Amino acid sequence: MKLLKNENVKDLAEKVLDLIAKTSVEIGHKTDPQTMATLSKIFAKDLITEKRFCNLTFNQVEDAFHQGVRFGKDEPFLNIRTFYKWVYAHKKTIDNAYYEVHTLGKDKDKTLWYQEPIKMIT
Amino acid sequence: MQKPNYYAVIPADVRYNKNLSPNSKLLYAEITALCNMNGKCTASTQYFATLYNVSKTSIQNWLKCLVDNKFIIRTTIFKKGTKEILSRHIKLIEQPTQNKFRDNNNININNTNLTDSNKKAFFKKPSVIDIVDYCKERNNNIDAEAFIDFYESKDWKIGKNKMKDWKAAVRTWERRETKKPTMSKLDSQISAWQEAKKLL
Repeated sequence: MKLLKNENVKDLAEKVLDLIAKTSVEIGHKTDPQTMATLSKIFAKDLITEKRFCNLTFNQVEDAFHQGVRFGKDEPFLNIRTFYKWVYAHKKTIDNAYYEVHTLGKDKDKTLWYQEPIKMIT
Repeated sequence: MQKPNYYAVIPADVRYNKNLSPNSKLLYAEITALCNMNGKCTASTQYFATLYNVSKTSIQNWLKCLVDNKFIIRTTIFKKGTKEILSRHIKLIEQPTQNKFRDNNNININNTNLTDSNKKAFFKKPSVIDIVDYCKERNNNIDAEAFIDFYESKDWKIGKNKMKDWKAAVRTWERRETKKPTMSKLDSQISAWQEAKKLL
């Protein structure tokens, strides 16, 4: 599993496009192909360059979208702002899970959204 | 002063007459109201002047205008042997409108045959065969039985009104069928995704 900062922009854009297409079906919005392609390119680049997201994995981004579509407070839209909201909210949940395991000493298996940090292979 | 609260009628001939001033038309309406209420109009010029808060001369002018255009007849009854006016009656001259003429002509010409508009007044429920035949004629894909069932459940009403022409309803269904998008929402979303993939 790769961290986002180690992903290739093109590959990530393709994955993001699939995710956006799936999300558009889930929220029932119609988007034209040009918008979808542009959104994926922008968001893929953002995920790689943004410091707060680059240490996440793509699976976690997928989880963020999954949670956002279903439990997000605001009306969902297919735009970068909404994606940021979802990923940022999910990152907080992940950080909280990390805190609960490593600082409060809770059981890893019983802590929702906890994921072992990915170690660099040397 | 008691104002008449009976309805007033202004026929089209009066309404669209270019020789009449708007106030004359209003006065005509007032006269019709009095005629409808009492059967005749015996109101004096002073009565109208007080009613509309105008001078007697204005009322006289409006009345003259109506008389000149042959919408009313003024009859004055004098005291016997004197020139003292006992009463004045205003009578409406009823002029049949052009539409009325047309209707009468239709009845005279087609005395035994009903006109198209009359035919529509008597709506007859169509049978499945009628609809199938009409759909074949129009070359559309409307399900005749579905059509019958739909309107049978609604007592052949469109909204609150009775259906007047079932053929028109069939044509409306036909138009709605053609307007329906051929691609479902999901299909269009998938095709958008595939096109976006090509654009990447």
